[in-house]
Amino acid sequence: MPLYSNTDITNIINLANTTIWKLVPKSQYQRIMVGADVLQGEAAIIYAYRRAVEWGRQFFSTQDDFNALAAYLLHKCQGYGFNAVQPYFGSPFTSTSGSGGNTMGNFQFHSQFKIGDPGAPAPGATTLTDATLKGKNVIAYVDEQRMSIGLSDRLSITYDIINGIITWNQPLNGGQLITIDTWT
Amino acid sequence: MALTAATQISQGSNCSQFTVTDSSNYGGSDPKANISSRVLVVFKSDGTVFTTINFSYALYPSDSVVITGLDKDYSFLVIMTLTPLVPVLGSVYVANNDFALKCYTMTGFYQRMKNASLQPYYERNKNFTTDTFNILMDADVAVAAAASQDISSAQLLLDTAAKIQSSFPMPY
Repeated sequence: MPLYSNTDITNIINLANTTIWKLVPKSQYQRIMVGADVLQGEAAIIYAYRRAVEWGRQFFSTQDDFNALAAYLLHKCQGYGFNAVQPYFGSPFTSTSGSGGNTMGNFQFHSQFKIGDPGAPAPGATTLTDATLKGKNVIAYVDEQRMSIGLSDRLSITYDIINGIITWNQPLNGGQLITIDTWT
Repeated sequence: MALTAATQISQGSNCSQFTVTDSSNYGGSDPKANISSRVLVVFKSDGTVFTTINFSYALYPSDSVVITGLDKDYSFLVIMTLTPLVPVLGSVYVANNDFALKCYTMTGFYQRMKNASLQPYYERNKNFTTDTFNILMDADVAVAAAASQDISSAQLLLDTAAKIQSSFPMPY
């Protein structure tokens, strides 16, 4: 699996910093700056992920699971709209072809949609097929819960990289939020 | 220019060891040839000696020594003593270096965050987030305490972080 470059990781860390400070209310920011408060909530979570990525890049930057951790941090930051997040139009990825959904080198598409949305899989669907997924690595989330092959989640996925087909092990309900990140 | 003894500490991903490098500015009136012995003593925070090393130029021509056998994170005081054949006025022949090693702590923290990224519901588990943040803060403050020559406090913080990790391992 191609890995993030060192520059990509730096960009992700910088994006995390930007996201953190945009999430912190001004009053809390002022309290933090004088040492009267600490980061809280989602800002603190992103900070912790950022620190983990910073630590991991020193030793584990050639490992897939470090890449996945960095991808997840990027995913969280993108969720706050501080980086380009591609909306879902019709087929999940056809509208984001070309330069991709963001500026990160290997990390090409970030797409979110809900089951039952126009063009999205209908309630009860168990698969999502898209030609632009072919040959790409995929991280898929349902309601922000990451689905990884091999984990003993209630809901799990398999992914056919040859044909670009994501298959869930049980039907999806209408309104469930699907997030798909891909890279090559 | 007068010699000022100095050491640098580094640690990689192998938490059971760290490296001490002699970064003294040899030369001028104080070349290595003027130093008859070089000895390292590594003190733990309770004042006991962790190890003593004959850090001679002959045995360690690279000026670095790898110290092994760490079963946990320690805060240490490393003292390197150079013995000159002819003492030079203005030179400093002893280097003290207080530091905290946090490899075990940070690796544990990294693993926790990596697991959380796989199962993000942990982000909403207050015990998990509190424990994980405390681990991170303990590591940070330990390093800061050691930098202020307070290796006793640094060790307490490192031990606290280790205790949190061993008492409350994942899964929560």
